[in-house]
Amino acid sequence: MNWRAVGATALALALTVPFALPFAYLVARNAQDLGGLWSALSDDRLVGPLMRSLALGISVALAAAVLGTLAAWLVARTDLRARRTWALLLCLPLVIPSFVGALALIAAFAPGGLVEQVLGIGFLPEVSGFNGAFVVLTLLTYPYVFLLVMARLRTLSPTLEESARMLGRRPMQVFTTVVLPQARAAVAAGALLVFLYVISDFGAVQLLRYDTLTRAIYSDRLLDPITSIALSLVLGVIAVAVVAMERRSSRVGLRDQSRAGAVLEVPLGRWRAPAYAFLVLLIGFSLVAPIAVLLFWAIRGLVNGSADSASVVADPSLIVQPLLSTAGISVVTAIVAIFIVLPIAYRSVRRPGRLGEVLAGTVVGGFALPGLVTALAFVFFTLSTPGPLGALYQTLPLLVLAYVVHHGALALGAAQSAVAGIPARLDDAARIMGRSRIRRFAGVELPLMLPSLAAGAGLVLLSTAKELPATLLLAPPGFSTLAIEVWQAAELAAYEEAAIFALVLVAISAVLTWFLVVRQALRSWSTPAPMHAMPPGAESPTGSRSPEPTTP
Amino acid sequence: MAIHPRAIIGASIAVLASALLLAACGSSDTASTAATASTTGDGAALTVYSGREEEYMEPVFEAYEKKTGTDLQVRYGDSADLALLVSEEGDRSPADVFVAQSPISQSFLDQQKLLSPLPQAVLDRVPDNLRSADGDWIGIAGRQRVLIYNTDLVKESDLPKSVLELTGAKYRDKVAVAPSNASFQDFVAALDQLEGTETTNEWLKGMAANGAKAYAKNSAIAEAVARGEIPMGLVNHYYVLEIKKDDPSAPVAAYRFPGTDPGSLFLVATASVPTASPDKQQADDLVGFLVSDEGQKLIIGGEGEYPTATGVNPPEGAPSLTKGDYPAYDLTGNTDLKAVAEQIRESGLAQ
Repeated sequence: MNWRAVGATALALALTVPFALPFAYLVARNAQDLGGLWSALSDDRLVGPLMRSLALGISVALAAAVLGTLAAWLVARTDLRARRTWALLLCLPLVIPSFVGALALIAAFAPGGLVEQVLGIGFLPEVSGFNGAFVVLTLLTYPYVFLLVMARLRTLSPTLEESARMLGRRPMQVFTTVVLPQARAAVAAGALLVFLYVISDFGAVQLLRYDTLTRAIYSDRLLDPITSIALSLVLGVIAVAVVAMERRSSRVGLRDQSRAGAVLEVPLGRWRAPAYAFLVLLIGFSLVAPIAVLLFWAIRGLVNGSADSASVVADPSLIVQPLLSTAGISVVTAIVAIFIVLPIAYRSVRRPGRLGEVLAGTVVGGFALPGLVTALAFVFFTLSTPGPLGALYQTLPLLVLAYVVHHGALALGAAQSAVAGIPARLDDAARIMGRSRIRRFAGVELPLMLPSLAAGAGLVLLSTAKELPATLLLAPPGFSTLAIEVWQAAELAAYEEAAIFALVLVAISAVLTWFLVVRQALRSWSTPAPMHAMPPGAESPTGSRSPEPTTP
Repeated sequence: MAIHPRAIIGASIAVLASALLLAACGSSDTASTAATASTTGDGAALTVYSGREEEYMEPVFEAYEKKTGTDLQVRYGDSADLALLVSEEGDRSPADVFVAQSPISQSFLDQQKLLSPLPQAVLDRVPDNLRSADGDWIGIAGRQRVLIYNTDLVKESDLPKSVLELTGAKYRDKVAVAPSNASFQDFVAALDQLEGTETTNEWLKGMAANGAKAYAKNSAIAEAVARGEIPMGLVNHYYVLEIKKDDPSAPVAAYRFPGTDPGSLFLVATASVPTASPDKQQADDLVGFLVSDEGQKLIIGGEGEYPTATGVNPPEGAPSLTKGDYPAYDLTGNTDLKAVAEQIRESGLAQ
């Protein structure tokens, strides 16, 4: 009997429990009214929204996978200049709340909108419906793929690529035949997150009038809660099914991969201009365009001067408290999320099998449930549990836990590829040298995992910073975040105010992402890390190269 | 620069602690409200859930805090979400007062028997058509449903005499509605009561067949009409004022359907006291303040809404509104909410 393995399994199981709560809540609520559940499920009007949710989820996931993977490869594996800046800019669209993205698209491209007024173009595509939702969600979610794939590409062994290059393959061929297959699991994990995010998104589909399941869930949530809760369960079931399919197909990706030597860099050569053009266009549409619309609103507000003394235009100090709250809560959530999902990642990677998959699937599937459902599940379980848990109701620790449950999926994929990237022989060597488990983790494994974990933490951080429904319901009264301020201002149609808060949200996220994510995930561009507690003969986890890239 | 791994963990924990601290300092009170025992008189604390925006409620709440020394903890959010929250919290709800943007969220709680009756003295402040028949909730500010139209695209002479005419060929593809918006749902409930279920179903289906466009909410409709994306739409009256405030030259105007047409429904924002309120007396007192002369003036300050309390004058510049200007809809709160949802769903209007 291996007590250590039993302990690890017990820990992973215990940590998965909170992630199962939203599902348990939906099942419990539906069980109260099986007739209502049946009538909602057998309703032929369910088919339309369901198909639309799937169509949008699949197409956005595919588009985001292509954009995110290409951008990740350019940033991680070519001799691009200022790669950290590119990396930062490519992460940031993630923090723009989807309703803000949708508002910006409508303001810009709708008939009579900014583009028509400013540029005088009268022939514009229809922005509402599928097309608008597809564009907005693709541009805001490709960072899910970008970050995970970028982290993965930093940890690939260069030997295969070197051989391919010696055999005279072109960079593009090397990319498609050697690099891509090795990064497939990360691409799939990112695309899965995009799919789950899209089927749970409400902000964009509501404003752009694309009638998905989520829209039905929200429309009915008060008038017909039974239908609403039944439809939420449908979403949860889809999520679990898709997660299971994805795990089945990409199990190969979770092999133990060791790496040695520095990461190979492909000289872009004459592809330099198209590469820059691609990145400029991608960042232009996903980040600069929405920011330009926000700036237009903000400047218009400042020029007109707001008559309202309670407005942020009149009193900028109103930004301070939501700013600190947003920064504090999202950094804390990111770190807590990583530490909570790591044991689950260890269990599912080190001991592949059904149990590990169920645990991982539970964590990932919850991401497809609308935040409102997760929040209500927390209310239900906190208040109905006897004992001290009720005293935590509407406190910050519980809010952080709800965020972690809602966004755990974002950290898990990164944590799994981080664990998979630890060479087993390193661990063996450290064990032979008699190091304790804790010291092996802190001294050997954590530094190796840092790039991937930083990417996962980044996804959680950016998603938490823009989270709305759970914050509105579970935060202590009076606790406000930038996302709440943006939403409140937008509700009042006070766009100058919404814009100012949204711009501050992007700015603070940029600062946090730079220090916590980009610098960690792309650490090998600074001086090489020292080798702490490294057994003799083991490779340094990070390659080294001069900070200034050289053009071939 | 070399980073010692233990330093990373140490730093993480330090960041964790300091960030928590920062966030805690930032929020006004992190103590669990569920565990907050409030005392009476000076230094008492009340928890308010408000689906009505901070901008409109903050002045009146501040005045109450000043006047009574009560500390108000306010959670702002969407009326429907907060109603679900109160319902999920049940008898452990920390909410002393629930303020909603429209009657439908109150009806939802009322039908679950989650609201306590308000004192008669408070109820008597408003006419009985602006509060629930069982005295569980009360209207605190009024607004009227209107047709917003783009003055460049629509001639005044082409406007309909009744909301029921919008299903006609003349208005094909020209009208915006917000089927998931509570005020629209309230309007459907009122239409059902005033004109009967059959007429309501016919109207909803007729609107869908006539190419009425479903928007996310009132403000989205008002902006689309101002841009000229669609000529007209059904909204609450103050959204027109908001557009004008942002851009005085915007080509929009509000049209009130004449007389007591169901399209001119008068709706109220509401307040109530959940049964679980730990401090009912103080909660009743706050609701009383919302409909007092002083509270009424603060609640509707500058937004162009109408007071609900008898004898309080509407703000300067608001169009006059008498009983002959809106239908006699009874807000008893007996609306069959599920039926309203099904009617809207069945019509296909939401798609």
